[in-house]
Amino acid sequence: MTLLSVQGLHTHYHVEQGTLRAVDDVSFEIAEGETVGVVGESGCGKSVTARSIMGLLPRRIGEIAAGEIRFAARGGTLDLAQQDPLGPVMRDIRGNDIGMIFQEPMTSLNPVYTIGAQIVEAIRLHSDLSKADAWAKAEQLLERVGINEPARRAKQYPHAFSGGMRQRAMIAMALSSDPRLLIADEPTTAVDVTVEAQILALLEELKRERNMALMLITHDLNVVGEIADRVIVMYLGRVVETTTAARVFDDPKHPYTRGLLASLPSLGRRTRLTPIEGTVPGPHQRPAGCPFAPRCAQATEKCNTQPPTFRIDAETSVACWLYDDAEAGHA
Amino acid sequence: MRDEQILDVTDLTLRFGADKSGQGGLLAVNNVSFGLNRQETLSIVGESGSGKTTIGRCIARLYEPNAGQITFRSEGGEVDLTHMSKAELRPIRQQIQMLFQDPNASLNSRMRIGDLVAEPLNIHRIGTPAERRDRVVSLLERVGLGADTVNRYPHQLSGGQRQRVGIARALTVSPRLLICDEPVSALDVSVQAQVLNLLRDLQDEMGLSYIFVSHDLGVVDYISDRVMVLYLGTIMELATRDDLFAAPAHPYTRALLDAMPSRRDGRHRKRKVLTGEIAGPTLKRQGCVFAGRCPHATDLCQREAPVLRPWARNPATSVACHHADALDLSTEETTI
Repeated sequence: MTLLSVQGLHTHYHVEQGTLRAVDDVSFEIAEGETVGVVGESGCGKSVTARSIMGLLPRRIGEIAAGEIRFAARGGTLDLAQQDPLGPVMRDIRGNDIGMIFQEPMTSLNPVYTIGAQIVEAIRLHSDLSKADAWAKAEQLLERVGINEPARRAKQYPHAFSGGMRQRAMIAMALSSDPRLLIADEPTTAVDVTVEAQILALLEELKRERNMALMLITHDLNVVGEIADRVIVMYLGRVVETTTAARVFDDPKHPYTRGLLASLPSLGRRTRLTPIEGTVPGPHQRPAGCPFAPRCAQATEKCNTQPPTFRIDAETSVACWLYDDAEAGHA
Repeated sequence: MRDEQILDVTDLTLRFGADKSGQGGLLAVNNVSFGLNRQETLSIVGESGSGKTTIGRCIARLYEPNAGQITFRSEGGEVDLTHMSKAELRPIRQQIQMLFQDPNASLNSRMRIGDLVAEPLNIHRIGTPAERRDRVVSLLERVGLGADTVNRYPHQLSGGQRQRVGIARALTVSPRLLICDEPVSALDVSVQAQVLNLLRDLQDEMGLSYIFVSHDLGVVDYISDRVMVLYLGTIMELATRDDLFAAPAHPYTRALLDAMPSRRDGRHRKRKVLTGEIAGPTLKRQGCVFAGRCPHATDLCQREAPVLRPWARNPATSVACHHADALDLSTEETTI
């Protein structure tokens, strides 16, 4: 069953230099219990997409200009794009139905409160548990995410935790309300590779035992290959390809996806890397047609017009004129 | 030419906050020895806190080691970097340059790119002003930036372009050794590949030697000739790239390779994960530094620190593990 359905999402940032189309006509779906990886380089709009879903856009600057974000909440399906981000409905969704963890847990944890107190706060915001019961639940959650001696650790402050333990504590906090969807924004980018493996394994376990869907935002295709079911590749605010995690490596369609793979150093690869030429243009130099055309070796005149999304088959769709013999449809 | 050794490090030890006798404090680098040939790339890998950056900085004498020798060979002959005064070091510093992870932090935001790249030439009083200008423009062009970059400021450039400026700046004084500290970690994948290829090409053209500090084993596999695996300031394994990735000798190397995220080929890979995290370097040490997390540790490992020695199965590899000769790590995965 579809848990989240984003259709034609446009998110604009109003900044001094004008209006920035941070997310530009993005559509995708996440099913119950599914892991979807969102990949792309910095500035591609993957974090803004997540913030749009969560109602966490910067006030007065960020705005959902158009589109639907339909989410099957416990109380019924809602269009999150229509809700007041500060209102009671969104506050309820953020705590109960959708949890979120960030790249640098230290910026999301308050240094002057103990880890336990912060988890208790999250629990009590969304339930009527007593302080003592909430504290007991916090300790259980810490134990579940693999923190030894949870009773002692809960009384410690964030600075006493290592980077990996802080990320575990953040996961415990996000799990406190049993969310149906967890959005993880670069959760392992700031940690060592051995800790990254531990966190990814933990996320996968938790998601299976709770039938929780996971939206994993990352710049690392290898991380996607490790735990995702499906992949959304974004470039300059647009979805350029939607496919399965296996196919993104075996049969990438979009020239940008192919370029990312050819740029990726990985174990055992000894042939020269072929980087994508040029750099991601600044947000105010967005090309008129296909956003990737100026860096694309296969670009033709046709690419001066934005390509629609072509559906290759049930699992793969791609926004590129190379595939216009396939049937045009919605991702 | 490639067999000519340019750097020889012996028993390098650094304690932060040591007392006058060189004891106590935090042992950041522990008896590290290695050599580096001309036009060779030696990568140093390990988790944060393993001391990989500190070794690079000792060689550039940004840190003063407590013990050991760093012998550097150049056209001018052989010098011991550890016992030189600041004034004596100055001409040597032309030959050893550094490239940092974050070009934002290492480029003065109030200087124009042209002045930033010319600065090493000014400091070392090389060439006339006109010659310096020519050199700056030709280097900027060599690293893929237009001559018009000269008048721009760092904030007007992208991260990849700023890292290219960092490379041009390091190369102005024609160094022989470049110490690269996570030079591509902050860059997007497509730009990272451009910079890695540039570093490889420059090495071939100029006969540069690289010490390449990185936590990314994919990058290390791509760029290195040899690899040093470091844990809590101690060398666990030192091997050629091909040997290290094909047949690791140390359980820690195996664990690092297993931890690399990789596609699971449509099935749920029941992945084995190294437990725990790197310990604090201030802990009192006895035995092997890795014993606490090692799935193969025995009483001997808790008691006695293994020495780095040639591996019985492949003497070209050096390994510090009591059980390296008995373990077969080539196929197994670390257990949860």
